[in-house]
Amino acid sequence: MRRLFVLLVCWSALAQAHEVHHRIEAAGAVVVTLTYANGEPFAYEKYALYPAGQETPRQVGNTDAAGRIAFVPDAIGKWRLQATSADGHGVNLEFAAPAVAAGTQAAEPSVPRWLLAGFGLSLIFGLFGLFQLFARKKT
Amino acid sequence: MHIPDGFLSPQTWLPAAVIALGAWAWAARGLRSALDETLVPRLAMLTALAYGLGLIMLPLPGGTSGHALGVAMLALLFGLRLAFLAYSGVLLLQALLFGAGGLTALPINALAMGLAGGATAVATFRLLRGFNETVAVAVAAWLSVIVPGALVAFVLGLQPLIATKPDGSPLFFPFGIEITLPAILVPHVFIGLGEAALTLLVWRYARMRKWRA
Repeated sequence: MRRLFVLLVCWSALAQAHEVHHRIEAAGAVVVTLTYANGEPFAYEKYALYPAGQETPRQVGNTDAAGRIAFVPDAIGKWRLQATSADGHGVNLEFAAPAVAAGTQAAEPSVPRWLLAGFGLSLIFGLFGLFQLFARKKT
Repeated sequence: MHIPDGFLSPQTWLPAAVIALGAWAWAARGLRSALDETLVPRLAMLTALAYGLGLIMLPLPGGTSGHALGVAMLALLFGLRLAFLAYSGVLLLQALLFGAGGLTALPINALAMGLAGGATAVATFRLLRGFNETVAVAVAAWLSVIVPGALVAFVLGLQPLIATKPDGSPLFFPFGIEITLPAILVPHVFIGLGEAALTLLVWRYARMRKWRA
């Protein structure tokens, strides 16, 4: 019985059980920040992050209070992020993860919003103007 | 309410595209004769207003945001066919310039907001105008937000049932109808109030100017 006890104790020291180990370190990560158009964070919403072209997500979860997703890319390449809220907002975007060590940024292409809005308005008035000139019925 | 790309399965957006093409063809029929020289600038102005309204995001309780549509004022002042065409153009611009709504989702967005929203506004207005015109315009505008909201919620909520991975998890939009319906409709109850006030304002201005209604 004593031998059995010693054997069990020794074996238990070597055995790999169900514990989850943890390690805390300050490592570089890529941070994707999602916001609504008015700047409000896309907070606490579901996301799935895939290496581009793959069906199995590398990371799933919820954005944090500031609408952020942090991940450590284990390979330089393209990634696809699908983030959704229950009310149908969200993104499905493909992006190249910047090199973490270099601390670079891959910002969203930023044409100013007012410029895009103005371009859209000019398109609307321009198209209606063309219609007025060439296509409407003659009175 | 604008559904982005990647949220809808091809089983959803392909049939919707066929239906939308038919609807756009129907709406464009007789377009030249429907538009005269006074109507085109007015339609252009209100289409631009609808486009602008879609860009003004209002923060809503729960951390989300929303915006008015402007489809009711188009439908009540210019009729369903013109409103549907004009609003489809607005949705296309918003998708191309701002990524607000996707190109594959454009047919669903246009059918829900442009066609169903406009048809709801026109039908409600006709039903209630004999009772009280102001109430008719307000209710029509409110419903023109609620009905498309319900349709979009229904279409999104169907996605987990339509397309799944081999392990059973959703391939596209992950939430079911029991979640999407309240998530979309509750904020839009309030957005609809703003839409009603705005539509009433534009309607009264148009009546004052004796625009065709």
